[in-house]
Amino acid sequence: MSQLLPITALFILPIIAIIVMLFFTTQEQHPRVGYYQLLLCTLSLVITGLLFLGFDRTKVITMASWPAPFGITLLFDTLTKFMLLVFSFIGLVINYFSLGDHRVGRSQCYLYCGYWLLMLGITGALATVDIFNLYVWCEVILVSAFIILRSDIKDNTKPILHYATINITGTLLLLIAIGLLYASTGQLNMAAIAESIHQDNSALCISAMALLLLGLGIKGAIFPLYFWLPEAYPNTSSSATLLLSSFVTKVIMLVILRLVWLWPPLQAQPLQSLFIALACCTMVFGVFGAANEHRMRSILSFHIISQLGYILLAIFIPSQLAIVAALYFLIHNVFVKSTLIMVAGIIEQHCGTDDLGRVAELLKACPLLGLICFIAAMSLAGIPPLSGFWAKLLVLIVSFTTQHYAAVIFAIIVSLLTLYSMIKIWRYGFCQANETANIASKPFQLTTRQTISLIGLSIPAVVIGLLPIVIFPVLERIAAQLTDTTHVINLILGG
Amino acid sequence: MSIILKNFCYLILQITSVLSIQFLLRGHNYPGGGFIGALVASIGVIFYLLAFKQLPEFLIGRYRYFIATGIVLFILSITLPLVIGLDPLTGLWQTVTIGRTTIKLGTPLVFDTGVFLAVLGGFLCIFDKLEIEAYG
Repeated sequence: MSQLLPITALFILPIIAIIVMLFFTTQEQHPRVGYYQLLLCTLSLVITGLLFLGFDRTKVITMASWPAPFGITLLFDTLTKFMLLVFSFIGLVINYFSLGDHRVGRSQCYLYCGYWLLMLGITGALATVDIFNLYVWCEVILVSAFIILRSDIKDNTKPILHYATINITGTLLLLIAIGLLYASTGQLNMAAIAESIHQDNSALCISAMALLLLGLGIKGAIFPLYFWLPEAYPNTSSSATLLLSSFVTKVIMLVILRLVWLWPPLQAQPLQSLFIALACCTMVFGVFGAANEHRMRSILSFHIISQLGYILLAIFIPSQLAIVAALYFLIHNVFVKSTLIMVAGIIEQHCGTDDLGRVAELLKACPLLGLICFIAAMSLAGIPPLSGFWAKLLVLIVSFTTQHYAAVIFAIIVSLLTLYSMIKIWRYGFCQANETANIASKPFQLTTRQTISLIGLSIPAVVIGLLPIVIFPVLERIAAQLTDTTHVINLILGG
Repeated sequence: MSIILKNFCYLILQITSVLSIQFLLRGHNYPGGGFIGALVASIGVIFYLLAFKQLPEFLIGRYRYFIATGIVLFILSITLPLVIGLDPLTGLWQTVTIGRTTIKLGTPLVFDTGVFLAVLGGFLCIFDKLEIEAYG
């Protein structure tokens, strides 16, 4: 009962928040809407914090009291609780930042509605163990992504159209895969499907699972189908980029992580090699794409893809340390990437553009911004002792010990290319004088809001880099839970 | 617009409204339910819009309340079982006897009504915006 209340609150709070926000849409720009939004975000942080207090006790909820294989079951284990805590913290910081974002369009309320819908979708997608329900939550996330992308003063219909077309195709694949899985196993519950695979390991079932992963892969920007991401993310307000890049693809990765450990065929031979190869391609092509770009946010969007490759690589390596590596990488990436995108957003606010050919000598203009950008960029590139180093080291260790030497080589090369990209940003944006730059780099001060949000994002990144020990116990607990598949299945079906 | 079309469309609105409530009520055990009920009701509204070029008087600007009431209703149906200590969304049933007819009332009906109102409100909102674009 004690856990049931915060969990219900997690689902109801976003709905109430949307209603509250919709009341404000009638006015052009309501002065108090930001305070309400921050209050609601803090509330959601407190709720996830309360839920996380009992992170060791897994809670299984059967909706409408229908027993497990028939009804929709929600699983609140350490993974769900911890990631919800991280996400709602980041959400709070980003929302605080977005109050001062000039590119957020006419009415901020729509961005906030989108945010709450996204939170609802994330909570559901992380918690559910029913694949059809998972599809529904993916749709919720997709719709919220449209709303968030639209929150821009410029007209960005074309990138949104790309985003919509490709993602809806992904959703349809997901739906077909769910239909096939239901046809071959007669189940929709992930645990029940896992049990029936043990009994008969048919080709249809495995190909349906591969199709499901492909559908999720399109939404998670995996190699051949990632083109929507660098198109859509830079062409919107920076708050929207922040929200989407920290939540949408990361949640898909977490869902894949859960599926991979519940369904053994996904980590068995044909699929495992395929997806490890795809992960390597995602890394390489992402970083090559970044080399060709000149806008900071475009570069960072390509790096999102490249980093997703690392996470995917770690997910598909079957060891407990690999789960720790994947989760550590994901959390490091969420914080560091958000910091960098926020820096790009601030540069855009002050200089009017974040094109590296048109801004110069920002280090002189604003040293604090330069310092934070430097730390975050070096962390992303993987310079010790920052968090990116440990993240990449862990991924390298797990792929080396499982004899995926090609993946190791790719990961090292991509890491070097990431460093190159970060140095490009640093050199052209912050250090080098540029005669053709038509933006005079006159000194500017960060506003209090910008400073607080930057520090709020970079402190966790630095802390988990310098003291990984604060986060490892939780990650190891998550890994232990996920690897103990029979226990999870019994918990879901017997709960 | 011709008087025949107007009367015909008005008739259709009446029929679909009754039909939609029929769908809503039988939805728990038979095909139907809140979502389909709302779709059927909105078909009637579309025909009405075709003939009269505006929403029925009592609906103009009211769809907000439809959505809000709908959401409140389905939050109620989620939380009511929690108060008694059951899992969320669990159906609570109460049989009511009026004269010789017995009616089973329960939280699933509340949930369906919530969905009905929210979806209908959403569609009315879309129609209202489209109609403004089409007829100015």
